[in-house]
Amino acid sequence: MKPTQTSEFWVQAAVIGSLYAALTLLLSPISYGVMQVRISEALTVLAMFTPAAIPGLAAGCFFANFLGPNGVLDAVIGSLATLVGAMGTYRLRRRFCWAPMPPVIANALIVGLMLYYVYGVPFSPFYCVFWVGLGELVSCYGIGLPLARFLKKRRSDLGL
Amino acid sequence: MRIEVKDLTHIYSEGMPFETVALQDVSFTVEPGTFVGLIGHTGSGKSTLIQHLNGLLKPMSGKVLADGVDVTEKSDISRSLRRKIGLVFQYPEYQLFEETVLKDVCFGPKNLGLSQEICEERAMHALRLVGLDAEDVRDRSPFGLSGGEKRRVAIAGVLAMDPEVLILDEPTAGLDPKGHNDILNMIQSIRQARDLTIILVSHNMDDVARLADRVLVMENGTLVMEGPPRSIFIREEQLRQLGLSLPSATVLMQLLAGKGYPVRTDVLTAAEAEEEIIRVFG
Amino acid sequence: MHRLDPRTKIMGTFVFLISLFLVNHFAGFGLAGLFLLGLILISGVPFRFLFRGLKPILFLIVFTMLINLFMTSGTPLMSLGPLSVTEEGLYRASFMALRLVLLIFGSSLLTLVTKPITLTDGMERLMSPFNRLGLPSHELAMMMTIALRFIPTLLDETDKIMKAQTARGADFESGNLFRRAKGLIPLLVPLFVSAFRIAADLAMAMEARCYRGGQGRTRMNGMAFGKNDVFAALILALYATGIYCLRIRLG
Repeated sequence: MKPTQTSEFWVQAAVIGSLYAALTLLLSPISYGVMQVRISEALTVLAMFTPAAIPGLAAGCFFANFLGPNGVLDAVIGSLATLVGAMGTYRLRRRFCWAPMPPVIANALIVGLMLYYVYGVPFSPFYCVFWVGLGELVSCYGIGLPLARFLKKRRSDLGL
Repeated sequence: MRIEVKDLTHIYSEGMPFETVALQDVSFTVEPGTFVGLIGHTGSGKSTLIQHLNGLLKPMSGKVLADGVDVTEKSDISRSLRRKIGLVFQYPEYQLFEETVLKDVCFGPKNLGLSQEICEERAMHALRLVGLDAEDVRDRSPFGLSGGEKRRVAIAGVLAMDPEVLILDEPTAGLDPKGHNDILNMIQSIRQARDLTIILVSHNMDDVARLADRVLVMENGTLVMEGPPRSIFIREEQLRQLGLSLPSATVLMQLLAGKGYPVRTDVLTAAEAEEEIIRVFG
Repeated sequence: MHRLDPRTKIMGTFVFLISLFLVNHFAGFGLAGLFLLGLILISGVPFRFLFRGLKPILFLIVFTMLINLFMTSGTPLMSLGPLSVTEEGLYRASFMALRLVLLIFGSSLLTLVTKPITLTDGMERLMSPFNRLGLPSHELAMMMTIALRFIPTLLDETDKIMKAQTARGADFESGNLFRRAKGLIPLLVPLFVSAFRIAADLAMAMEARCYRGGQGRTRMNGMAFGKNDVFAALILALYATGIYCLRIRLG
């Protein structure tokens, strides 16, 4: 039944977005700023379990930025990076260890280059990309991977 | 354990435009071993009040004392006393998270630092106390249980910590009549089995009338009435103004009295009403 | 200004932000700054809110300025031992910093004069021409509206769960990173379960009310361009032209 599928998909996406935004806001002291170790970035592993996470996470990132101290620019670019990353994770969902990689790369490139060109961080583009990538690596692999393992184990309980 | 509340005041969002006075100068004492019913319509401050009793919330002014010790103190004594005050929130089944029922019920005792063996022992006891077949449910996932069973598991989780005081916030919320009665019977059997002090927050006057030794009535953050159920439920006018109702047995008797029959109106339960009706009508 | 059509505000911010990158001379920033100041004054937004947007980036700005000041090669102005401040460095540092500040203020302004829900509506309308290319603009906007609406709900849920677990002796505060992460399980599992349960219930409720997606839906609050919007558009166009001219003339 198409209507059901559509509603369920988008509502689930919405709730994932809410989760991302809520968790980012809760942990706000460390969630913002350039060297962000966003716990919520670890949530990108949700894209391994449901495609609804793709638009959902992007929306969540948008609101997390919008409602936080950052402006529209970060919101748009950040969500774009999250969107691309989530798409990648979804594609790689069967390769468990590689799945968290796309957000790392997407954020590193997109946010990193934004830092260089827009914010004028005066080091080479590679440097910017590198540092953002590092932060992402910590979130996505350090927290994300154990989270993914946990989610996989408790999948049925959680309704995924 | 005796709990004393002295001039408790709590304000949400102090200093901001949304400042709300949740509790204002609330004072009362709960004697050990008694059953206290806490009633008041939504927003009267009941939930805020009970969260102060085990130290979850800290008062703006005033004190909460457990056996004479301030529950918000950062001392070992205070902490060990706090651990003896069990609080079961509304819809407690939403706190379940473990893979098996046993593990979830063990969560509380584990946090107390007890050994695995003792935790399991306590957990099994608690599960039986809430009326579940402990052997049967112990290895099942809590998420696969029915609503009523989940709620019992959640309550068992608190009981396994062996509290001296048990605070229950609307334990029958959202249950059908049978579920409601089951939980109430469960509370009664727990009371008998463990000799606890119980504080029951409820909207249901019949339950409170039946079980409570004392009733506290809250309104707008203040304690407006206090006393044994019989003396509280006789003040019909005042209760109605507070937006509260009476136990159904009492209402029945009042209707009869209103029609001119010489019946007592200070009954609390259906059983008492039955007796009185037989006495008057023969 | 708060009452302008969200589309105008979005497009306006967009134009402004882009214009900042077209500036190649301080005069351009002068114009941009004046324009922004005008907007801020009209909107009535207190300045301190805008400065808040700088806070997370403050370190970066100062750091960037310092690096630019000392590391750019060129004609030296003064020296402090091995480090020297060059003319080019000064120019570059202030140029970048100024642009960044205007950028932050501009984008923060949008978030301060627009309610997120109105913004979502505006975005939906702006996206709708792309429907033909397969963009499900309505569904996306609906998803965003719902996501926004549930943020406070989930924050509440988190609070309730934390309290219930704390009452069972859970500790969310102490311990190193590992311990704390494990300690979050009693919080995250119920939270996730709640979240997905809410999602399932909502989807069912929507369907029960015969929600069928975007086709043929009508609006309760119509969105229409008013006089103010036309006026704003004119001012924007004037500003954009100004920036462009400055660029050409002074480039």
